Amino acid sequence: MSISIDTIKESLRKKGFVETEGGKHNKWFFYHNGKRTSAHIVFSRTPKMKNFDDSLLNFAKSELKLKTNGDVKDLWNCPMSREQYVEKLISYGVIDGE
Amino acid sequence: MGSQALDYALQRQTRGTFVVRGGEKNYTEHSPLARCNVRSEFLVLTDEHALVVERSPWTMKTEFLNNLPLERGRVELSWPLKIETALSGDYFITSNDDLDVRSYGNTPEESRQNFCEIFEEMLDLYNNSKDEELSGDAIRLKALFDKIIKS
Repeated sequence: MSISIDTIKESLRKKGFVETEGGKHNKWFFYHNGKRTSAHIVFSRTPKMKNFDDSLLNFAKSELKLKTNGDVKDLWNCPMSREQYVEKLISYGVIDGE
Repeated sequence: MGSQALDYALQRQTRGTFVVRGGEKNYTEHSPLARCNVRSEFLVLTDEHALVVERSPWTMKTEFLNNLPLERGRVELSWPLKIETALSGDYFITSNDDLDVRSYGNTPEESRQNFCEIFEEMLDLYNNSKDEELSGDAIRLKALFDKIIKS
């Protein structure tokens, strides 16, 4: 199974991720209360790669600071709302709960 | 499918990454063919000229680096940076969890190159950020990035 990188980016944008300008690699960071968090994902510069393969889910899980591959898919496929994602990041100590 | 290759595939452990060499084609490194085979539960060669000749040592590799080749030149690090390169499905992933830097690539070399580039981009990003612009764990990472390069 794989998902188009464009679909992932669109979903991330809706959840509060912002693309960082500059550099060779495509970096998306999650912002909370106007501050940049460590939750992010980098789409490496890999020629011809248009889809994100399931074999990279562990990579995405670490980047997005989630605990399961299912959570990553929920974040991308929309069942997980921005608010639910924030709750998880707060409970994992990734961001401050203000 | 070459009968020699099939015999090899059925007789030996076939999971992992393989270096293959073909009759007409010569695969001298981790080829798309080899990685394609890894996806299966057992090795199935799709190129009749391909022969498995060697099991790759690239299942997992851990290194401690005292310096990194960046675009700005080779930089000395304040402490040895542990990086791991591992095979995940069809991709190689290089990572350092302490600095939260990861990359992937089609080959170990590409993944490692991407890692160095992403490291430098993260370094610049955190060095140019103020604490008040960051939240939670990002502040800790900024402190690490501020110290990692030996001045």
